Amino acid sequence: MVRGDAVERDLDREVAGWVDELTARYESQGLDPREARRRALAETGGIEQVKDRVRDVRARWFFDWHRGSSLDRLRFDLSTAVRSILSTPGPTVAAMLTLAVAVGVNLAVFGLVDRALLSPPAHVADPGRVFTVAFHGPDNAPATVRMTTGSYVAFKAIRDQVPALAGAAAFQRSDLSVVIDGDQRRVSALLVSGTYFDVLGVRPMFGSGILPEHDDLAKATPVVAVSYAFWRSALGGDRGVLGRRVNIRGTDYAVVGVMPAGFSGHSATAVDMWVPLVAAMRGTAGWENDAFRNVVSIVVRLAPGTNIGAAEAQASSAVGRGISLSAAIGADVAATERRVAWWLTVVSILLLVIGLANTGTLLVVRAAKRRYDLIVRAALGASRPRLLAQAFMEASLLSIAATALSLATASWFDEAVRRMLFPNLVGRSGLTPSTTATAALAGVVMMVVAGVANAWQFPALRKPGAMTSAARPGRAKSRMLTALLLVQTTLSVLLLAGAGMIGLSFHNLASQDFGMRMDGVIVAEFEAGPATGMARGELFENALEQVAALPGVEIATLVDALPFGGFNVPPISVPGRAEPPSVDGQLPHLLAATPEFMRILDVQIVEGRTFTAVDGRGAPVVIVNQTMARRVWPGESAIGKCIRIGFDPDFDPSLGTGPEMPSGKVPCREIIGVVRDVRQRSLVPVDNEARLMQYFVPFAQIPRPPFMTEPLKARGILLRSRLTADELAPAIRRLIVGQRTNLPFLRVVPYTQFLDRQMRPWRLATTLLVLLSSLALTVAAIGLYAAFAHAVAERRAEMAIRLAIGARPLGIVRMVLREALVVAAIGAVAGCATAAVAGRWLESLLFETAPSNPLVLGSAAAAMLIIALFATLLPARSASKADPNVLLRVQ
Amino acid sequence: MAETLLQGTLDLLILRTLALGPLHGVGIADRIAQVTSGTFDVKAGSLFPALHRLEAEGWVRGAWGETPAGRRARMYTLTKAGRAHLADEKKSWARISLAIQQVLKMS
Repeated sequence: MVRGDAVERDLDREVAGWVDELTARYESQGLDPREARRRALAETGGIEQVKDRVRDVRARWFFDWHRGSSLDRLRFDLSTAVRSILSTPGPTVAAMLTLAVAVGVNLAVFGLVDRALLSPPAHVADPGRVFTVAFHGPDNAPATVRMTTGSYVAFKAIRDQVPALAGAAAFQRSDLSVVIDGDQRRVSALLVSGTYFDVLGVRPMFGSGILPEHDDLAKATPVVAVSYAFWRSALGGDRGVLGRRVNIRGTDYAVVGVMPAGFSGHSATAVDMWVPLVAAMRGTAGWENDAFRNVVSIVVRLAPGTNIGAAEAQASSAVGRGISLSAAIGADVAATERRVAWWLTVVSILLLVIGLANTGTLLVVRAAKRRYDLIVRAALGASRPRLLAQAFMEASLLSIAATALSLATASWFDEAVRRMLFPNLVGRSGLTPSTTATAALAGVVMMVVAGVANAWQFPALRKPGAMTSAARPGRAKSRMLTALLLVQTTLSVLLLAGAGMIGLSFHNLASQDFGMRMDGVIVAEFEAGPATGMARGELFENALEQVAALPGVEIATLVDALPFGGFNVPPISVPGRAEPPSVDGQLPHLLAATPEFMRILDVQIVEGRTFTAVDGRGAPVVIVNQTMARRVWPGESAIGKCIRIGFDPDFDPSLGTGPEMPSGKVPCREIIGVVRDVRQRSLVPVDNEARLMQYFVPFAQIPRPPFMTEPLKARGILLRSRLTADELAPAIRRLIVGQRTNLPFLRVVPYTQFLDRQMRPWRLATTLLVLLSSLALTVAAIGLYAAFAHAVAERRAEMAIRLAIGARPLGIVRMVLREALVVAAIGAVAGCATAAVAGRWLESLLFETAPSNPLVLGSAAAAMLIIALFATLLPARSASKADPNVLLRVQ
Repeated sequence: MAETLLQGTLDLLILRTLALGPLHGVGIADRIAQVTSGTFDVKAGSLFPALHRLEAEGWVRGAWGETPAGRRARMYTLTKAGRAHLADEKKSWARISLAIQQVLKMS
């Protein structure tokens, strides 16, 4: 019991050897073998007695607190702890894994939330003085309207005319297709002005990087700086990378710098490559001196000794519009992503609590199994402090192992969760002090939990008759086990209910009536990026007929801006009204349409007629939506009325002078039809988003801004087909792109994909909650199984007696299952109640779903009950097989 | 006839016996009986517990080997710590026996 089988065997052999040698001596003295052996045994004093005395000595020696040096004691206690852990592998391994997973997930989540929202961007000098710029809306817009982009002209004004700023840099995010050594890759790029790295106070790890001289419009030197991660993955970590060429849109760019590890610019959104704006925008004429083309976002650094207010005021007067500065920490993270990140944290903590409760359950069960060992040790004289010390040493070993495992798995989890939920976030670049500290803290908590679980047995040991009552479970212990089980079941149900609520909201969002048909509709367009020039439109025009003729394509048309994809809000006026029609400062949206466009999207006519093929060529016509008709002409029919759209010819864009609304010099377009509202841009219909004003104008009649002289060119092709986008993509690409190599990638995607960006938080939250609640359910199931298997084992005698006096095995099974179901039911009720109450905090993520939705709560409860049933089926069955003959013998 | 032996005394005898070289259990008992001319006839029931305790304290080390007679047995060797402990015990034994002699000589 103390040392193990090998040592026992040795002792056996040794004593047997003694007897053999004595026997041999007696034999050589002339006795016959049997007599010789008898004598030898008598002289030895009995083999078993000898062995007992040796064992006794050993036990006494080892359990004497004062014997041996402290190093010996430590070594012995350590080896005892290890052996004791190995003697019950089942619950121990399960406890360790549960804990490692729960802690690993938490570490990963904290790391992600920290990187995305709390920590300043890596490698940025004095990040507290770095801000992003937001422009206020035009004068008639409400004060809350903010725009994150401005013109390059505005940027130059801010850069040059604001003494309160130490520096300003412009940037634009872009996904580029880049060819490196013949391989094409998609790259997350940041187009930047030459001052970007100076503003952030960052130097490349090697190379000179992007410098202010790269802002020279005449030279437009094609260079790039790459991130550390990109350098390792795509450029092979080659130290001679400087000067290597990468090809973007047909031009070779030279690599001039590799940025430090973990650096991703001014925000946590991952960047693979930095490219000078001037070089990347070379193909777009006039981008840099047009005050109305909003092409860049701006990041600035406050000069020392100034404050935000002064900077904002100076910048406003330099640009001529209101300016607000917001901190760079947590920048670029959308509000909904922020909410998801915080909820992720809450859910992970819940999971950790479940994990801890589960570990507690498993360890209590394990300690109960080893109760007999403890009793014997105590009887042999081990003192209480010694036993406690050994119990805590076991606990420490377990928690150290689990912590190490969780640190190892944390980086895996971080990568997995990041890829799945926050793919734009920069990756982890090694263990941070906060991660290690959190892991250490978790380890300490584990140690306390495990130690308490282990030591739980101790009060029972000192009672007389402890050994014979080893078969009877202590009342305190089963109360503790029940409590732990209730914690697990309640929290699991809570998580399940949360998953149900968010999942239902997700479903409701996706099945809204948007006023148009999106199923079966496919969009073909070039990827966004700099210089998506006008020439592309001709490619679409030339290929349209052939695309429409492809097998499987029902109808196809050219398209400009689509709902959920781009917008067009030109100036507008209604004859006889002083103000343009607007809702809360929002002017009506213009959608370029063809007759096919209206048919593909199934836009419903409620009055008048839709477009026909002749409409583009004749008098200017327009179709408005119901909201616009009701607001502008309440109580009357809008048919026959007219509106003016577009810039007035007297309006000067470079000076901003002239009439803002189109005057009588602009032709008035007749309204020929009224259609049902189409959801313009928002998935969630907050405020007036479901009731925006819209109007449709034939493609050929779209008014052009004064800085654009050519007629509107298509930005893509819209079509309806029974086939999927993937099936049609190769054929469409061949027709539009052909053999040309200097074009960006042509995307052929289902129209529903345009909703993805806004659906993302719900999709993520649902995926995440489903995963974590499944994990929680599994853990709870393991806990239930272990606890009931243990309880059944403890109560074997009781079961045996019941069976002996006539109970039916099925009755026993039912009895055990009923106990399990009671625990699960209480947990389910508690979990549902908590969910109904706590659901109020989830309100921002819920859509048309009440926290007390009976379907959701009922399903969660039912799932828990079913799982509990399955988890305890096996122990219940084994209880019914208790054999009275075997069990009534004391162990 | 075996005289009763204090536990510490038996330890001393065993350590002293092993100071001359490694021996197995039977060998140690034989040597002690020999040297004390049969005064101390140590049985297995006393020797084995003592040997294992000495091993636990680290004063002797046991390993499977062969006796001079070719029999497979557990051979015990005196360790350095054991040698040091033997020296200490010899000194204190000398002190104790001197003190007892003084008491016995008292009139």
